[in-house]
Amino acid sequence: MRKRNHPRPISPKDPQIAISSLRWRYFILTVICACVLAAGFFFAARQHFMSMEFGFKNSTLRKQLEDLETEKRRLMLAREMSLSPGEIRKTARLLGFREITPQPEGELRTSVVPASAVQPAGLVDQPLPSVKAIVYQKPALVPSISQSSVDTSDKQVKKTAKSKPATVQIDPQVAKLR
Amino acid sequence: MPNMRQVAFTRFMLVVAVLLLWFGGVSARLVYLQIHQHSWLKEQAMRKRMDIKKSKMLRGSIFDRNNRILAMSIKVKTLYADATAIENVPAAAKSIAVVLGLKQNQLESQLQEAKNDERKFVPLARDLDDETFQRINNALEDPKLKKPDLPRFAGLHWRDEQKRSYPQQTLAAHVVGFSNAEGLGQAGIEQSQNEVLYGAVIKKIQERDRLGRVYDETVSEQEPPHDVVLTIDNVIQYKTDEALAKAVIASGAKSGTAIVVDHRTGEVLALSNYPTFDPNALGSITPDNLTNRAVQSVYAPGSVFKLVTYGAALERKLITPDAMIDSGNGTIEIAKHKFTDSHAIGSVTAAKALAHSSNVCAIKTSMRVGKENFYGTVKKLGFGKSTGIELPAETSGIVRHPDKWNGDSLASMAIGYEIGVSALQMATAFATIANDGVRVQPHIIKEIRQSDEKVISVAKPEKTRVLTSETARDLRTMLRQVVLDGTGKRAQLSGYTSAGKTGTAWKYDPVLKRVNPAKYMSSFIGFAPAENPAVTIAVIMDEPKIGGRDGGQVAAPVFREIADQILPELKVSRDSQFEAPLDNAEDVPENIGNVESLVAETIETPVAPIIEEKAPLKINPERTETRKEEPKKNDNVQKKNTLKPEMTVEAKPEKRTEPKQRPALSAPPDARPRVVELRKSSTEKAKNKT
Repeated sequence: MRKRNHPRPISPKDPQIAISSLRWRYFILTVICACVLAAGFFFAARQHFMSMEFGFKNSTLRKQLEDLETEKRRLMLAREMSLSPGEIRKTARLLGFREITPQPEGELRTSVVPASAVQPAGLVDQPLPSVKAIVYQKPALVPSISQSSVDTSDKQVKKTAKSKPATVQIDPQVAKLR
Repeated sequence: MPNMRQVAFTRFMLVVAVLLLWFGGVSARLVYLQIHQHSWLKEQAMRKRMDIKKSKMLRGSIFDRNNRILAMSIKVKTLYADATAIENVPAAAKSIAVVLGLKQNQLESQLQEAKNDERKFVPLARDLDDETFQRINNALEDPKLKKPDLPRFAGLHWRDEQKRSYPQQTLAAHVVGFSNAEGLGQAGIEQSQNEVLYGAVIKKIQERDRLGRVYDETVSEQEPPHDVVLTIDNVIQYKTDEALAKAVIASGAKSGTAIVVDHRTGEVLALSNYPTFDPNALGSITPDNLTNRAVQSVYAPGSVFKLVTYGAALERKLITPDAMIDSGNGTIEIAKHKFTDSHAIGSVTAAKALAHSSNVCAIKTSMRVGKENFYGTVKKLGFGKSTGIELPAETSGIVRHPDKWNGDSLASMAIGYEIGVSALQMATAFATIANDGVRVQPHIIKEIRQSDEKVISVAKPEKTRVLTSETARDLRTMLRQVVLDGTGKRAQLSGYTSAGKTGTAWKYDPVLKRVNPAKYMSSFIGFAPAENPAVTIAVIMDEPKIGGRDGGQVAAPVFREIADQILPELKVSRDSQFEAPLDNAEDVPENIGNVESLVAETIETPVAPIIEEKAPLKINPERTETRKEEPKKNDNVQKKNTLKPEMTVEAKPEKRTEPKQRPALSAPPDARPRVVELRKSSTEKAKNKT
């Protein structure tokens, strides 16, 4: 009987097995290196494309910032234009206010009118509010009154507002308006 | 078996050889491309992915002291066509014309002509805002076309430009100025601060991918333009503009100037000229309305210059406000030339003499001061040199050295003739008095800052003590009298005290080549409140024709209107319970005997006007402020004048020491101070007549 438990003697074919296992090791090592290399390339490519992506986003944001800046300036300008005296004048005209246009004045007037001719009944004792700024008052829309009398009366009303009732002396045309 | 091995080995070697050849070939090619062709390929790559764009930075803005925008540039888009890139011109013209609302035939011919000429820039629409930009992009989009920039339409591109806008329109137009299409300032602050405001051209290097998307951008560094903040207060400026415009139109004047100065800091709160212009409408600008008369025009100040006369005397303690000056019979003769008052006021205090604007008293005072001292005070108060305000083409005025004076020059100068000043110089002189004798250099720029509001520089005006506090105080007292019971009653305010001086000076007429008694420069310069002044206001009206013509009648009411409005605006406490009377309630009481100097005491003719006839003239006591007029033979001129003064004048002496002629006081529209010419002698004139 043959004993099968005895270790096999090394035959000439055994070196092949050893060589084969060495090859596999080299192969696996090569694969691992290749994987590392590939991974490195992928990593670099990812970084590259990410930087490109950031570049695009950056450029978009920069453009957005520029556009917002432009829009802000445009709005600031539009706001200033709407608050300018010229635009306010235009808007007032659209709303029906009439501007008191300055006209060449003749010689100075010297006529004196009592205060009672100016103030309506019941308001004589009430002090007029002090006005710190001259405000254009919308004249009464009486068709028969000419522009010059309207302008004159507006000037009178303006001056009246500044003074105390007792000292008001205004042309009688104002009474007609009121 | 060995044959098999050999065969295998041979095959293996063949493969290796092929691989080596391939590898070698590739390597050689790589070496050729990456070393030999390196620079060329790099350039090609750069050119394909890099885009160089040049753009101009937005011009700096101009603000008022309250940060209100006076001038600002905004980006606008211009649509242009690259005619060489349009293949089908008629189709393109049709599409574009529909969107832009242009005539198709006209556009087609324009594009065809440009294509034939190989022109790459054909503007189609300019100054478009963002909304219109988006609308056009959407309307012209061609989905099939791959184009990196908008609009996605073959041959069309956008170009960034900037548009300068002045939202306040005519407000402070002479101060702000305007700039041209190239972005260069042409007037005002736009011109004088062009270097600060100018937006430099910057280069943007953009790297794009194959789809035209930008992934990297490099901007060449350039210093960005700065913003300029002015001392102008837009509210005060508006009120000043309105008051001045109203007065110029009402009086039929040729022009008017008003200046409001904070004398403590030298800041100009308002600087107004009428007629004015709108910088947004360059087509409406003319030399007449473009001239900044406040700093560019020279005029003979007349009686307002008596401030200098009395100031010089007070400074040297030659007089006090209560010192008596005897005006005698209202006539004084200097170097055989008579100067007279309209009516004699006898012996009066210096304060009253100034209040009534007595020429005789002023001349007597100047005689006591002396030529050199008077000239010294004139120079100390800043006349004869520019104030240094940051506006272009400022005149320095005309002040002759005493070496070139005649025998009666001192007398003439004492009453505001033989000297040329600008409105700003006069305002500054009064501001010096209001500021207790300390002259603060007037300036109109408050600060310069970056676009992020970081301040770069702040104005630091020069301060010089010109007169003592006592002198200034005495002068303020005397100027107060002018308003209280002198020629400046119409400058009385409601709720505030005021002080100032009126002035009326005849103008030299270049056509007549002598002084024209029908033409005046009427002025009032003062400050309020009288004791602790907050502002100094100067009003000058050029050739008022309707109504009164004196400074007290024409200019003083403007001062009052401006002061009444701006003092509450500046939160100045009221210092008077007095309510100024209405114009028609109580007329200004007549100021008897104040002759607003000799007509001919101008720069052009340094002495009284050439009066050929020796006919005596009567004095009209009804004049508030009278002036010298031509002899009776010039009846037409007298008739046009609503006030008819007459004066006694002697003929001039024949011998003159200064034969040359002087230039006109009212500078022409170009507002450049002219070379002073000496006047002709009377002998030469007599010879010319014969």
